[in-house]
Order: sequence, then C-alpha cells, then structure tokens
Amino acid sequence: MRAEQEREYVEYVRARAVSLRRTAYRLCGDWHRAEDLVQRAFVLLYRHWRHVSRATSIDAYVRKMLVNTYLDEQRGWWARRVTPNADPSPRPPDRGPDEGAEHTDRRLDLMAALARISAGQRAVLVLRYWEQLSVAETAAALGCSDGTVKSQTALAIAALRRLLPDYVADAPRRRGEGGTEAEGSQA
Amino acid sequence: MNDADVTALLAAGDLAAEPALAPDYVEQTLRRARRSVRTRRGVGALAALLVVAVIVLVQPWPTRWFQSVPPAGPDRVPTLPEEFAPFSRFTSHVNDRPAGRAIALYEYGSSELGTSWQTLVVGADRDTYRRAETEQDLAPPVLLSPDGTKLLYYKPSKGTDEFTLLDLTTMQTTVLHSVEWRSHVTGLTMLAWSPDGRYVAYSVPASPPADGKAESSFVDGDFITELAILDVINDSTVRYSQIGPVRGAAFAPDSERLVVQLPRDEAWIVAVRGEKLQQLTLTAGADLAGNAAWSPDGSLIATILQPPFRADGSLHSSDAKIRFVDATGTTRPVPADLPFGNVLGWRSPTSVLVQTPISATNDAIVEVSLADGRTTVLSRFSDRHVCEHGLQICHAYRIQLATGLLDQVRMRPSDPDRGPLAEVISALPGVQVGLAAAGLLWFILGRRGARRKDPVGP
Repeated sequence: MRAEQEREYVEYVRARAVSLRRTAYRLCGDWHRAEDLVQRAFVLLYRHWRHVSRATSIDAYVRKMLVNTYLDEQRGWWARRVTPNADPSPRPPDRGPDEGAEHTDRRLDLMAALARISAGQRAVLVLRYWEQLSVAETAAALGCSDGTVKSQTALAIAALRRLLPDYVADAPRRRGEGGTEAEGSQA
Repeated sequence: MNDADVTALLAAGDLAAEPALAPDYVEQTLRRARRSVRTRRGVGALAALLVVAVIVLVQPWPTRWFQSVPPAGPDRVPTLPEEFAPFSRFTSHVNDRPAGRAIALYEYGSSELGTSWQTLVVGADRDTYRRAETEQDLAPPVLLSPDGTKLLYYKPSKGTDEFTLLDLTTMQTTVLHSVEWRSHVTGLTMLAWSPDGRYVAYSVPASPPADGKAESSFVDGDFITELAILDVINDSTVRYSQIGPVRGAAFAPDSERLVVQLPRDEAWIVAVRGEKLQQLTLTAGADLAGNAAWSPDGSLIATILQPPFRADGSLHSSDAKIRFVDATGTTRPVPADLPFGNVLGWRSPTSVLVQTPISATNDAIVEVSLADGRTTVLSRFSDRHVCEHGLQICHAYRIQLATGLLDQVRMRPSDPDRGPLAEVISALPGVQVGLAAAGLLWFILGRRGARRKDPVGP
C-alpha cells in the first residue's frame, strides 16, 4: 500500500475505532472481544483499502466486515465450545445506589438473553435497533435478503420476549414515566 | 414487544463501563494489518513453489520439454525399441514437436468396431513416437528415407500432383512435383527410395489408350502404369514409358540401378536414366519383396513366393516364402527359401529383418539368418488390448524401416516419449496433487493464523 493510502487508512481507523467497537460490543457482549473483532475487521479493511476507499460508504463495507468477522468467529468450533460468557461490567459510578442496582440487573438480564439467541439474530437486532439501519441496509450488511432480515427479526424478538417476560410487563410503565434510561445511555 | 421496546431494551445495555482504547491501538492495528498482508503474500508464494516442486518431483516428463532433437550423425548409433509403445490417443503429431531421425514408420491400430488408427514415426536416437498422418488421411501414402531423416508424402490435388518432403529433424517441408498423369481408375504409387536418398521411384498411369476402350488399359489384369524417377535434390522427374506396367521396384545399393517387376514373372534391372540393363526371371507367382528387396552387398534380390491354396481351399499368409534371386547375372547358388512373407530390410548381407507373428496376438520384427534360417526377435509390438477403448488388440501394418541404418542398429529399452500432448495429459495428476498440497497448506496456515488471533484461544 502506498504511503498516502496508508495515511488515509490510519485516519479512518483513528476516527471510527471507538464507534465500531461499541457496535462490536453489542454483538459479542465483551469489550476485549469487541476490540479484537474490530481490529480483525480493520486488518481486512487494510487488505482491501485500495478498493474500499473508492466506495461511496466505507462505513457500510467495514460494518459488513465486522459482522462477518463476528459471525465467522461464532461459527468456529472453538467459539462454540470454549468461548466464555461475558464478564459483568463494573457498576456505573455515576448513579445512585437503588437506581444503579436496578439498572445493572436489567443490563445483566439483557446480556444473558442476547447471549442465548443465535449470533445471526443478535446481529439483526444490533443492526436494526442499535445501528438504526433499515431492513435493506441490514440485509446488505448480512449478505441476505430483506425477507430473511424480517423473519430473523421476528424470531429474535419472540426469543427476547420469551427470555425477558418481566421486561415486557414493565416496559409501558417505564416509558409512561417519561424520559427513558435508554435515551440517557445512548446520549 | 414492538420495535420501540426493542430499541429501548438495547439502549438499556449502556456503555458506561466502556474502557478506553489502548493508546497505541491504531499503530498496533496497522502493524497487524501489514503483517497480515506479508503473511498472505508469503503463503501464496510458498503454495506456488510447492505446486511447482510437486509437479517437478511427481512428474518426470516435463524434463523432456527442454531437450532438443538429437542430431543425426555417424557418431550416434541408431536404435530400435525392444518393444514398440502401446497405442495411445495422446501421441502428439510430428508437427507439434520433431521426432528426430527415425528408425521406423508404420501404421498401427484397429478398425474392427470403430477406428483407432495412427501412422507413427519412431525415433532412431530416442524413444520418440509421433503421429505422421495428414489432415486428409490417417494412413497417407508416405515413404521413409533410408537414412531416417525424411518423409515423402504424396498429396494428390486438383490440377497438380505434389510430393511433400518433410525433414524430421528440422520440420522443414519442401514441395516436389511428379510427372503429369490422368486417370479415373488408378493413381500414383510410390515404390522405393534410393539408398543415397537422391531418387524416388514411383509409377503413374499410362496415357489413356488411343482406342478409348477400357480393356486396352490393362495387361494381364494389371492396369498399365509406367515407371517414373523423382530426383529429390533437384525436384526433377522423368517418366520412362517403355518400363511398365510396374508391379514393384527396389534400388540397388549403388543407387544407380533398380530392379523393376513387370507382369508375367518378368523383372528388369534398369538404370535410373531408364536403360534396361539386365532381365531377371522370377519364379512363377513370386513378387518383388518390397522396396528393401536388394541385399546391401548387391548380390541378392528377395522375392516373396505367394502362399498357395491349401487342400481345403484356404489361404494362409504363413505359407508364404522368401525366395532369393541372384542379382549378379551369374549362376552361383542362392540361399534356401525362408518361411516368411515379407522383407523389411537387411541387417547384413547374410541376415534379413522380417515382420512375423510370435504368438497368436503378437507380432515382432525378427532377424533371420540366410545361412541357417535361425531367428532372433528384435522388437515386439504390444499385444495389449488398448485399441478401441480396450476392446481390440492393435496391429502393425506397412512397416518401413530406415534401411540405411540397419547395419549398425542396436536395441534400446522402451521409454516412450509421445510428445507434448501426452506430457500434458500425464502431468495432470501431478498438477492435481500440487494444487491439493497447496490448498492443504493454505488451510493449515490459515487455521493457525486464525487461532493466533483468537483472543479467547489458549
């Protein structure tokens, strides 16, 4: 790779590393694995930079690389056998004791539920509801049809509903109280 | 649970505990990316080297690709194969790669059920086999020169009649011309090549009879043909109308005379300029033994006594005999008859080479002593069922040997070189093994690389 191209590549990596790591974290639930997934996606990007850098949306390519890297890893026999569950993250320091405990419990429930649905369905959920991609964009990132995205989304939501029955009951009340924590955490 | 619920649910898994990126994360990523590219290039190069190495090691044929045609010269001893190579559809044509100086030319194959037929030229200095057919004919009229370096094809075409002289060592072709002739019944027949390589005797139909009657074109059942001599060096040719109908011819060792067989058991020794020098009387029913009939010392002319009908009315070629005629005009005794039906050449003035069956399915070239009839098998033809998809045995026909090389010929073990087409076909297993090895290497290295990068690996 030429020096100028490599400089552009480095600038891109520097600018997008944090945000892609967050996406990766949503996919795998572990910050260390997320960092490695993103790095592997960046390595792939380096190999194809000359081609990808001419694309209209580099982010779309990299997102696709990241998701494929994650799915490839999940398909590997090693990951199926010995990949441990994500370690609980430390309690957020900036919340009150009661609110923080409830928040941590709900987050742990969510991570456990996400860990129990299939990797493909988890990727669909993350892309659709975390990355806010459309069905078509999600299908492009996953390399499947729109119909597959829709059906997998439905299955994933059904699985979450089954795994988190309490949340379904609490959700209207929480939203009815106004100002969701979700908005706060996304901000 | 609707879309908004799921969005809220995912947002609930906050990022508050997000650790900071390592300070050298970008540099570390760049190093890893560079190493990845280098590794891939290295593995690719290694796989390519492995493919080449496996092909070279597994496949011995390509080494021949770099061998040039060995020069034909007096310092090289010509050889005959101990066993002629079995039939192969992958034998290359002589135009694809020169065969070099040849020791034999023959037709080989079977046409019992389908057609598996080849005209093959066999190298004198290496065990080369090349097909020598023309585009029009699987068994073209062709003569092998006595020194084995040239083939002379006869190529009838509209308007002119042309010979094509092909040099087997340089692959240069030269067009030569025959006398003009016209007939709708028969055509030009190539008869013999002089030992010095200069003259070729052939026959052409005589001019149509003046009375226009068909029966006037025949004498004793033979179509009236006339002798013609082609000077290969000067591309000049002469017709001798007074010598015919021609049934066969063979040159003397001095290349200045030839014996010509005519009807009614009559034969003449004539000069290449057309003068009749000496008349010979052949045994009734005997034919001149082909273009190699004259012995190398000039004393004998071999004839073939055609087999008589047996009591049951059957005819067997094994009943044919070689009968010798004195060519010197004296009354000295000649060797006794030999129980064979052809003469391929002379290894010495006292031994001839013949083609004869040595088993129910197997022919061979055999040396026969004129003194006592003792036989020595020199070259066998394969009796394997390799023709017509393994259904038939291949047979050899119209064998011509380079008669000028036979006095010094030696035997060689069989190691067929069939040319580039056979080499490519036979190299395919090696290529497949090489590609499989490269693929395996790629897979193994790829797996190892993937494990090394796995953060949860050992």
